[in-house]
Amino acid sequence: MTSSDERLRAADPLRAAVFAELKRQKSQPQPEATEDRARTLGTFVEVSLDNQGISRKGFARMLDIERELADAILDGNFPLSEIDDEFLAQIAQVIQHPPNILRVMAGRSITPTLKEAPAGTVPATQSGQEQSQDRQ
Amino acid sequence: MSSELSIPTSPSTSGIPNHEDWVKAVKALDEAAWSLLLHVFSSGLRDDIEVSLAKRDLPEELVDDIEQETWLTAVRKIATFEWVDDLKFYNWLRAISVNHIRQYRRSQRGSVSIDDFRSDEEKDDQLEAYFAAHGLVNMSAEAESNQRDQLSAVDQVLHMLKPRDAEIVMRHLMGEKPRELALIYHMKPRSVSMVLLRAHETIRGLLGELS
Repeated sequence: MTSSDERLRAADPLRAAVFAELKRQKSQPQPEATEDRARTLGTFVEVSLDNQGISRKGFARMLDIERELADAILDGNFPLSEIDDEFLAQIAQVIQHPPNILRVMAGRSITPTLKEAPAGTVPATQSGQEQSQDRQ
Repeated sequence: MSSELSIPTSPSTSGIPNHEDWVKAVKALDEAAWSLLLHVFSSGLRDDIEVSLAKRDLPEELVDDIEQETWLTAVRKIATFEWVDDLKFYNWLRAISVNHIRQYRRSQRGSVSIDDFRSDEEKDDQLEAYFAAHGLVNMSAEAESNQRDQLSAVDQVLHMLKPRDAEIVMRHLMGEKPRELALIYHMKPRSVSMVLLRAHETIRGLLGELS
């Protein structure tokens, strides 16, 4: 670290951290320029919500997240790598699909479901009453 | 790229130029470009993070960590961000920040439990042709206009299927071949193809109803 780096770190730690990250990222291969999967997943979740009569606001409320994050996911603007597996499973739960469906869409490895289970089987979610309150 | 980025001659109201060279500089991780981003957005972002933390009854002291993690994530992910304008960029930053807050809250709560034929060549060819035309990824611009209808039909079909079959259909839609899927799911290729054909027919029927 140079003395100018040290001075910047003391005066403006946020800027120093960002500049250090810029240097680090420049030395690494850049990720793909587009996230088609994020867009496809966002659209899929959105149409699933539409099919269930759930609004964006309701989606945000059911996940207990801010509207900005809900919009970014549904618009396909949010990096999939920032959506951890548990959050992805929660999203799947809201649209009543098994988590593996969204994991496949997100390009993640899955443990295949080998046992037969009845159609429409999804993990337990909110009660019907709570869900109906979120539908608009 | 030079860090001597020229400040815009026709800036938007926020002071962000939004022209092509500017976007290239941001994506090339140019220090001057990022310095301007920090200058324009860091104060507002910090205020919004404070509001979000207060809303969640989280300590205000977290603001520094969340703010820094948000910017570092933005640097790491900027190559995947499609720049339209500064408003979209700010909304993206906000989404990243609230996701970091969400992750923090979750880490404090502990883990939340979430339950969590050799096929008939002709049929395979039909399927491949269908899904090539209706693929879910890298769609052409004109196909994109129909994407919502297609995905809506896929959503409805997946709800009708058993979880295993829904998974198979989705994996095939995302590019995996029936023969590969047969191996993965310990099924006969013909059985996989039948699952896919039935799904295909239902999707086509639903799309027909829509059109």
